[in-house]
Amino acid sequence: MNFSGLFIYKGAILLHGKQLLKQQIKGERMKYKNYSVDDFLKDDFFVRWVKAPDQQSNKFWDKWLASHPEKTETLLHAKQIILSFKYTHTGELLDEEYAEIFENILKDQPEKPLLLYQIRNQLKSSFTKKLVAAAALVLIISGALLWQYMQNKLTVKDSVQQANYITKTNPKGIKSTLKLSDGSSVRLNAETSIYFPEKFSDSQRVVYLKGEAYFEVAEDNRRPFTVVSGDVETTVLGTEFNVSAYPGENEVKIAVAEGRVKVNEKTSGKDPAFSYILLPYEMATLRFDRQEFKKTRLESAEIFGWKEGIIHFQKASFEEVVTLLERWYGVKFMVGDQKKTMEGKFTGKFENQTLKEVLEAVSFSWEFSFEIKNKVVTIK
Amino acid sequence: MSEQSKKEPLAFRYDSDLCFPHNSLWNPDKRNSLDLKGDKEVWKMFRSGDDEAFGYIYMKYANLLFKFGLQYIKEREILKDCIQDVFISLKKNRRNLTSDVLSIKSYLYKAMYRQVMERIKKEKRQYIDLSIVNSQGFDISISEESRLISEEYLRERIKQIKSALGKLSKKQKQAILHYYYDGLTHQEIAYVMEMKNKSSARKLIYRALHEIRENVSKKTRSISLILTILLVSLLFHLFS
Repeated sequence: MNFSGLFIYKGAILLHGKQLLKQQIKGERMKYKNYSVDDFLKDDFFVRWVKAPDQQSNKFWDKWLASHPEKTETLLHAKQIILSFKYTHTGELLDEEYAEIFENILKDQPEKPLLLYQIRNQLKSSFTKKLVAAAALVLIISGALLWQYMQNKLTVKDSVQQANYITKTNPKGIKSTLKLSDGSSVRLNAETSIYFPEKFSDSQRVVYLKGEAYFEVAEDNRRPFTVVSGDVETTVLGTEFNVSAYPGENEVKIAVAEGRVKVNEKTSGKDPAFSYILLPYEMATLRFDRQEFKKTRLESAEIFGWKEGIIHFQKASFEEVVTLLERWYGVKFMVGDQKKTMEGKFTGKFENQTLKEVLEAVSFSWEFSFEIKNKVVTIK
Repeated sequence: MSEQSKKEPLAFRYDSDLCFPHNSLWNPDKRNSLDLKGDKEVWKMFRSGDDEAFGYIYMKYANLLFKFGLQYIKEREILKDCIQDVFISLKKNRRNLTSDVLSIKSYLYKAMYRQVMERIKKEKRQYIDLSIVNSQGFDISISEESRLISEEYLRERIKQIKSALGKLSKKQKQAILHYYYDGLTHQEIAYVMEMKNKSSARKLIYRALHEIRENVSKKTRSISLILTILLVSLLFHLFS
């Protein structure tokens, strides 16, 4: 009993550890002098430091260790024990599930459940109200049917369909595939959004892209398929091609695998400032900052590799590697001053490998060590 | 001007920082800036209608909630439903939510816990079979990554701790995991586990640690007892 009383007292001091740090620093240091592993495990200030170190606590423990080198082992043991606890039953959402749930959350309209809820309440309350509710239900349904009928009529008349637009967004670390209403399929890379109508109109097929995607367009000679990315339009009739248009990269790349693709500036009626035709294994690179257009011939299919899970670094700088890995694995890199020393370029190919495997190869050539924890990669 | 160009989403222009209202995971700069902000700030932004803050919360916690829920329910699809409902109600009630959260993590854990309990109750009513319930929830494992545990002494100690862990109550195990794995504070643990106050949470953890130590030292004692007996019998043998 006495024992636990003592611990509570200790905890009470430590909970205010931060505020009292300055005044107590001497007392604290004294106190920790005789701590065993178990004492450390019970010490809130210590556990906080292990789980979420900040500048202040780092400073404290650095100093403390410097003045008590004989306690290094005890402290490290306690730290390792804390860090080794984990859940037995673990699992993660699959990428698709993760994205699917988010979609459902966003789709959820607040009005709908409210109405159902009201109806249910009415049904509960009394018989007359039941009748009213039934009547209301009939009214609503017939109203909805009528509205749909009118909509259908309108769309027949008007070729510019008032379509429902859908947005698909992949966060970092997630790729997905989707089918469009015309049968075309789109493989979306990580950190990519696409915005498209639920149903395409009769005259054209237009989708909006931010990020990178590989399109396999279903052939339809009457309706050209256009990908709009910023000021660039890519138009085809039926073919396979890749569009990479990440904001912040200041350039849009369009690479063709099959068929013919037209790339032009997006204008509203005016003549476009540029318009080019691309053939298979040709790639257009448009740079916005320099108003530059470049057409290159692809030597291999590596630019399409991402959709099969292949990462290809071709003389990539350290920054380029970090940007791609962050996007690919959905992690964050913490790079300190080391950035300056990371010179030279990296070339390598990885096929469906884990982040750890990739980093092992990369770290070898730039000579750094790293730690992956909670989706954060710390470069040391 | 045609109708369609009017409808064109501004978000897909590079020069614009306008986003779709729900295109919340988008802006990487903003995400980084959210990473640097504290829970209180992110929560405030979310409550005042910031969709990126909402997306950020989902991105950061969806998987954690899945793992947390797994301690109660084994069925994947049900857990997905629960996560969905937690976030939908979060979004719907954003303006009525308390401004004073201990942390977003503990708030979501509690919300998930309630959702899961409600779901179990519902399933119980509908089906008698309760195979979806995870009766071994909150079991603790000890990671034995070689880098982490290099020394022999520690490895031996962890082996002992491991067997002692199995003897803890479910509540004790849960509190231990929340404290040492999830990094929740005593107060947050009390909130998630619906205990009276933070000192109840602290006591629960201390008692668990105490039991672990008891069990570990009992083992060591019995080992040393065996060793002593062996030694004595050896000596006896030698001198007889």
